Amino acid sequence: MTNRCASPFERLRRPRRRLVVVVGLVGYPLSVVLLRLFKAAGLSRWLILGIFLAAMALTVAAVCVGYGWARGRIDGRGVRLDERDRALREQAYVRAQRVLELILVAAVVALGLYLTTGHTMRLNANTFLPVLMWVVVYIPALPALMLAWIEPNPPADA
Amino acid sequence: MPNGERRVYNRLEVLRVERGLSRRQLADQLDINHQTVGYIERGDYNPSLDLALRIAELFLLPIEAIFGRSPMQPLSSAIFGDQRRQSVQ
Repeated sequence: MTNRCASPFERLRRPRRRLVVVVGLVGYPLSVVLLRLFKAAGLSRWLILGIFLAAMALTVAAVCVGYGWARGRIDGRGVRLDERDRALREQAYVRAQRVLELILVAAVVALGLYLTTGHTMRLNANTFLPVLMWVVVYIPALPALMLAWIEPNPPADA
Repeated sequence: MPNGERRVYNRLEVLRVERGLSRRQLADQLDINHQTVGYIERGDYNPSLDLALRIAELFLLPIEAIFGRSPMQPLSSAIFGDQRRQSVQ
């Protein structure tokens, strides 16, 4: 059977893989929040841009590593999956759905609290674009990231 | 192994080594990934009934000689221990 993953990251140990997943998941929302906070604090535009770009580069790298690690095993392209791979893929999809549910519920609750406490929100490109970016990048990558999260360390060759 | 799933013990590694097979060679014969063999040996993955039966057929052994619900005792004790007990009786 074809070796399922020829990625250079195949041998990443689980703690490192999980760190990559956390950075990938938290990096983008954190970058956007930091951007808003720094803007409100009146920091230099160049400093804000530098920090934002560094945080984004780290996030993109983490998402690429996590996605690259599990891509073939999620979409089944170019590799034949055996019964364990298929079972793990199903678990990854289930976990991705749970994470997505959690994020959506948390976002709606936070928005609800914000709006019911007298604040208003204008929907424009500045507010919509980060959400759009998150949906476009994370929803397709989430199952792969979850697979990178749950896969145990590979056994030593024998 | 998913949470809540009961562990299935096995003698796969002993049988594989006894027959001079590498994980990759065994995996090729079973049409699975070589890492899956390692995960089964390590107890991190419980094979399906179909795969367990294919393993039993490959080694020409009954399935309960390879897989069990309790930790497996060495094959020599399992075979010769029984014979010894019978001869004592």
